[in-house]
Amino acid sequence: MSVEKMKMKLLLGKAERLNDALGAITSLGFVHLENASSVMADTRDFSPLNEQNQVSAVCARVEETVKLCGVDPETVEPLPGEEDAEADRLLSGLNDELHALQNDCAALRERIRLLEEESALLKHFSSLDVKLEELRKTEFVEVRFGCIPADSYEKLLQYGETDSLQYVPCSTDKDFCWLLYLSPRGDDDADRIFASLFFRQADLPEKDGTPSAIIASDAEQIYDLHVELHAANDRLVSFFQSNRGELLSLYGHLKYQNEVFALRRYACLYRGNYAALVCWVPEERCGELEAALRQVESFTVSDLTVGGDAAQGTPPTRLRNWRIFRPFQYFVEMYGSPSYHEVDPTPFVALTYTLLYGIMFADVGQGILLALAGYCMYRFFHNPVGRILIPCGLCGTVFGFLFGSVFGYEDLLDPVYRAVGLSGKPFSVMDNANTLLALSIGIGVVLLLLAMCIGICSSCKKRNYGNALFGANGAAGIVLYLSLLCLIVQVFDISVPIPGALLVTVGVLLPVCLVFFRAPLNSLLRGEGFRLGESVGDYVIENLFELIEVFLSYFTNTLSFLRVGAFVLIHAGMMMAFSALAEIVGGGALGVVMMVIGNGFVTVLEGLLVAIQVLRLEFYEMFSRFYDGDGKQFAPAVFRRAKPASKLRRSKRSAS
Amino acid sequence: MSGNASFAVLTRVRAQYGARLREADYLEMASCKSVPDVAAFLRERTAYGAFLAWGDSVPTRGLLEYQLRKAMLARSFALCKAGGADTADLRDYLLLRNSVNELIGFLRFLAAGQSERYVLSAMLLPEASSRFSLHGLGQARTKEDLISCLRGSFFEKILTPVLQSRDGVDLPLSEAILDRAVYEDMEKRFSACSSGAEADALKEILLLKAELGDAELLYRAKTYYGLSPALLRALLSGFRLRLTGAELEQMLAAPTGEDVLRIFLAGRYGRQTTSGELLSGGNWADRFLPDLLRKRIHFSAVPSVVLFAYLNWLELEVKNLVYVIEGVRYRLPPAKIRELLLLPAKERG
Repeated sequence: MSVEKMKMKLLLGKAERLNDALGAITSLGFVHLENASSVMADTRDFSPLNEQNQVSAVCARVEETVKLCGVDPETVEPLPGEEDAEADRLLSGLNDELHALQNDCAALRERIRLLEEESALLKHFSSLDVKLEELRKTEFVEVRFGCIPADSYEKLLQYGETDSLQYVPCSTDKDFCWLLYLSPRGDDDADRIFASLFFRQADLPEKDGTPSAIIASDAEQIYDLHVELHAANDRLVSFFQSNRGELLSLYGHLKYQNEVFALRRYACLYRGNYAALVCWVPEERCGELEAALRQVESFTVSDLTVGGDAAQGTPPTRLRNWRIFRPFQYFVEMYGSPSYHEVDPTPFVALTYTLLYGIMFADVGQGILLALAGYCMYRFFHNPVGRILIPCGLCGTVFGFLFGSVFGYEDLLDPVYRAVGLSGKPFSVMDNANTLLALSIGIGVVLLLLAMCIGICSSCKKRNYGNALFGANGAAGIVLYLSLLCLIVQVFDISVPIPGALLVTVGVLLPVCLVFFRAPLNSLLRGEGFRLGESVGDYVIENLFELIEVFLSYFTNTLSFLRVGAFVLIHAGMMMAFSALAEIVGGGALGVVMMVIGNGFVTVLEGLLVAIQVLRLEFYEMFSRFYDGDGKQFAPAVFRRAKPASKLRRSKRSAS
Repeated sequence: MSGNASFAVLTRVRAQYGARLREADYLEMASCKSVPDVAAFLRERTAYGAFLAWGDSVPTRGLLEYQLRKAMLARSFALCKAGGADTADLRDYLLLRNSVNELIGFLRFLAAGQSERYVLSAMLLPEASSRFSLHGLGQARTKEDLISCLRGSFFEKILTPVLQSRDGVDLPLSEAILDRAVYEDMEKRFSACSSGAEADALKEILLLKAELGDAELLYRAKTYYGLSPALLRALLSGFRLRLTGAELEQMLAAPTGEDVLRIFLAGRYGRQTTSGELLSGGNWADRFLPDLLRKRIHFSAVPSVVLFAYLNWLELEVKNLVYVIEGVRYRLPPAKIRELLLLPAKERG
């Protein structure tokens, strides 16, 4: 239950074996690659790896064929790179014929595309009833076709036409105005004006006739080309059918090469001939990485210590939690991953979220329903919230037993209680409202103190001892908070075995001074002397306000936990209302219907509200005391696995 | 300013601020290979996407920067409008600032004898986004046209005497008095706020810009033009926040720009910056604003303060984007572009 320890490694080897090394790394699945160029930026002999992906074009071509023949490319598994020779054989064997067929198709598609683009462009000028060849023959002016943004057209209208600026607007759409303007030969004034209006020239085809006539002739050509393309595609499909196995294998190999290339951008060159990779690896698995790379010729693994810790940057955060806590990582990551030197709050969130949710959603029947709903959400829709709802629902069931509520029926469990020797439900919500609210505050106090303790641990872990000792959420803050609580409970005639004077001086005044002077005390701890860091006036004013804020936050954060008790009362109240409605309609079947509706309404509404409110308590009242969440998530380099065909069909169905 | 509408705006501002561009975003854009790549990033992954349009064509640097500035103004006006009467002062600030920017733009063309070209580079916004007729300004060709366009407006009394005082256009003086008019008008409005703390926080942002504008003006004037103290005094806004009167006098009397810089850095600002940072590009105020704005947006509970800070933040964001776009266009390495970015110290990696 912590953040996994990481080590930065430098992998160095011959550049031509880089793909093999990357293949080995991805097969491990626990190596987080860093951009080697940026890590080694200040180090001599390292240079970026500037190269073009030669495989992507071939891969895209084969993928197109695969798609054309009804196979989803995502279902094809990438094939590891050890079959280079095999792939080359396949490629050379199939390539010529495939290439020829694909070239036919591609050429036809390209011709169609060009004609369509030409038509689309000419449509903007279709209102022009002039033959283009006549405009090309002008002697004293040049005619420029193009468009300007709609804004610019407004400016042009304001600017107006002058002797040197003549234009003809042809059409407008949402963003652009399409026009032509005349630019006298030898005078570039009009060109400069239109350049400042973001004019974009359109290259009209060198064809004769009016734009409308050219569009009509293009349409005929496009139709003929589509017919030809259809026939060419048929030839390609029959080729695929006869070479299906080889083509899929070829595609898998190219896909693998393509994905490896995507990882090559993390590498850099060392002295021209060697490739260097920089990565973070979980400390305990360094051995596995070394063993895997021993299989790759010439590659060595070493600890990276160049430039000291600062140059290495922040390690990524990989959370390691017990299985039951893992679903709650979703909430933690929603707020922000913990930084490497921070305490992982997942177990704390898991326990407190479940507990608070259970209290606020206390009902045996509804709790079980919620747990089942959570299971279904996770099982069938893979919704991560589903896994969180299961323990919450079960905890709600436990508290439902404590408060004696089953689907809103408050006396259904009475026989059970009597059977175990109790006179009635252990805790009657409606009869002990004040106790319930006081208990809520008590829970809040305990959780806030826990949050502060975690804050101290986190500060110590980050070696920020000043914050741990003198921070508003550090040791001084805990003493201050507890002392204020003692003073407040004394108002309610509850005696505290600490003398009042001691409480005020040591419990309140001393911590207040420590919190007030935390910045200079912090610098004193670091051995930098007693420094305020700004002018005395600024420091005093700023920290006075911050102190007020500290007091206010203690007060408001504690009171905020009243919502825990309030929700228990609301739940009981709402279910009582539906019970009353069920009685009003005369009970029987109608009463049952009313209770079913009531339960459905309350389960959905309260389930959602409680989830939000508890999350708010976690994030706002507790996380703000100890958690920054500015870490970098651990993202191991792995290849995307191919989707199973059945899953793919399902996802397509849901998409449609 | 404490109505419900203003608190709704506060929520919107905080939500928009939450989705602000961060250093990682700028660096990702800085590592793009071309301006169209940056444009694609902005359109697909940022809040500016809704305001950017270039159809299927490839956007140019000029078009992109123009649309970003327009987007910034549109977002700012939308926020002020949402606050209704509660944010009227800040809407007035935007109107005034926008009007002054347009007027300065026009005066530059007028001084260059190309007033008819002004309309081609004007920021096209609705007429209601200015304190006078922008359409009239677009039609103006001479000083007299400008004076008649400004008749009856806030700027008539301010600018007309300067325009009539001599042949041609006294551009530095005109710019100085227009900027000063913005600061004076807004300072008066902010001072009239019902809460002293609100007024102080609003004025702090405003006066920081005014004061640092003065200091920068002195540095540049002494370094490049060698203007006399008397002339310089007329160009200053006269507002003080952290500089003392004595420091300002010393800066006015300083023989060179180096001396101005030395006196400036010996004062309270010197604790927060170095000469290298200050002279690395952009306005001096831009080097100090990010930290102040972040502090106000994070910690202030007053809607007007948060909104005003955010309006200024949006300006900085667009400036950062322009740095990135120019940097990519001239193939600056991302590390160099990173140095130019205007970001709070706490958000720098």
